[in-house]
Amino acid sequence: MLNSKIVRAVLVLSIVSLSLVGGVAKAETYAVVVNAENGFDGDDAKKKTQVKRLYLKEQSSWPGGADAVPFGREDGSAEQNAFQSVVLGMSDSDVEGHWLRLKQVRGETPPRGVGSMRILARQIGKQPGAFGVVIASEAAGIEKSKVLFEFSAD
Amino acid sequence: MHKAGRRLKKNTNRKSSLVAKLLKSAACGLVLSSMPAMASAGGDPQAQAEATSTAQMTEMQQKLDAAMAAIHALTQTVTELQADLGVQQAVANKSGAEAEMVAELDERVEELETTVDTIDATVGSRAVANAFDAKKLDIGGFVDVAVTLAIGEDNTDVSFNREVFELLVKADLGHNWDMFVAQAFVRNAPLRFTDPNARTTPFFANNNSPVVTDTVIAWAQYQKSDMFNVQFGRFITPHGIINIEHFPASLLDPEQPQFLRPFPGQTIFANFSNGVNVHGSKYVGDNKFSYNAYAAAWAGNSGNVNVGGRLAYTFSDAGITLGVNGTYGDRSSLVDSEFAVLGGDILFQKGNWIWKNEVYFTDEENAPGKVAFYTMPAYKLTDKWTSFYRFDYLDTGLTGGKTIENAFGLTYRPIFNAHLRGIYRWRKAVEDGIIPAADAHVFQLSTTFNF
Repeated sequence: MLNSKIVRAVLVLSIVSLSLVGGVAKAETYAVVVNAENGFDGDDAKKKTQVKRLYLKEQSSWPGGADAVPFGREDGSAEQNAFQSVVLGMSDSDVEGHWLRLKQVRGETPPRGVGSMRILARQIGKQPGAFGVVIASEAAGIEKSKVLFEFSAD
Repeated sequence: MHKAGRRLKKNTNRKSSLVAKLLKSAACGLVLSSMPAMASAGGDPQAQAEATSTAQMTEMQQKLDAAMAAIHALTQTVTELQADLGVQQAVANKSGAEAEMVAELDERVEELETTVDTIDATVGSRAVANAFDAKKLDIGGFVDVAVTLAIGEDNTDVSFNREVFELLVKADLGHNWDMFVAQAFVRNAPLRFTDPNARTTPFFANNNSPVVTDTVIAWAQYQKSDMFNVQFGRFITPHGIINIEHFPASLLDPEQPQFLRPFPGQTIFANFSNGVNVHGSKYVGDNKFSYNAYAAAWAGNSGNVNVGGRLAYTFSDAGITLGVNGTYGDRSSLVDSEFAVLGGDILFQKGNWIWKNEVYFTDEENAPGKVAFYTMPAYKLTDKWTSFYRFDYLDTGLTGGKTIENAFGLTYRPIFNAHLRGIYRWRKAVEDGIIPAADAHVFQLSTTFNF
């Protein structure tokens, strides 16, 4: 009787432990990729701030002079969620409020959200001021581009 | 690894093993063939030894020739196998590249299908609108509806007093040029007071009035850079915080502070201006500097040009923006009524807090001592719920012109495109000489839907 209780307790603990271990989200690394001609440089914090300003259309061109062409990713995608929380540092309502304000005051719209990494890659390769976020392991295969900085997010 | 690659590796291993076995056999044959000759060289005279040696040499020569022929044949086989291996590797490489290309095409076709599906669902067999000569055309808008109950000391009135539809159109005209229009269709019955001192008898004016259209904004803009832009036409008068944000879909309280009422008036400054506005912004490290400078006419004084502007500086880390505002002009084309306005604003926006403050003083001969001030802290309870309070003071500089409003509100965004609000406003008209104080209580439910 006692043994069966111990066995049951051990089993329950094992299942709980396994589910906890399984439930821990693995951090993924993402990369903000820019056109190969982009000469902007600085530490990661500076790059992140610059990308945030350009994505939110608070600035319209890179410090080097190229017109910024920001791209988002599909709403709800892991890339877009990571970009929003780590690079923009904003909640859903913050982002929505920002675009609502810009739409009504200046007629601005959010950057286009691209679902396909390969289509995003082609756009970044074609336009000097373009940038977007991809999973870091995918960045190496993008032609005419380079990684501006990498970041991790769950 | 691909199947073709695995098969290639297997074949290569098998053939290399065969070559090794053949070479091994040939070497063994050479060694074994020399063994009998060495064994028989033992018990006879020298001639026998020489004959034996010659025979052995001949035999060894023959076997060596045979071995060389075998090695030559093997070399040819190896060469052929290597050539075969090269061909198979090329095929494998080609297969890998083709597989990658197919994967890319698959992904792109899938995205295109999604795009086509979305367009088809939106447009179907209907005509696609063209944007005439615009490079890009964005259309949006909002509907704002309010129901208001006003309880005064001598009257109570209730009304669905505000129904506004506003259409927003932005067109990109080409590199550096764009235009923006906001056209409003308004059925509005603003809260008024019928008693002589405008404080005890609330009612909703013109509630059955026909729809009024108003071109709220209509400007064209040249964008030289972030630091230098020029707007021509009708634009939001660039003062303060709330007037610049302006639209009900954005605002927590769609009722403007008292100094911005009535909507087409110019209590302190007009909501909108017709003229030219030069504006820009520049980041200084992490902080941001922005400016506006305009020359424009206001409602009621189209024959005069007012000049004014705003300077603002944002301390990004602290979440604080400080603004200084000033304008000078004439309030009327008919009578002499020069005025000057000086004001300041502070916006604190960090974490869940948004705190807006504005204050204005005017110097004008027809309304000396005009002052307006409000402070409006707001707290985001969740991503959808926000609560706010606004203390709003206005002294019009005229007899009985001091009023204070305390507004408490709760707003809810069930979805991004909908904004629901419940607001209680306690309006207190301040005693002034023989004019007694009076309170009015205003309850308003409003909603704004935007697209």
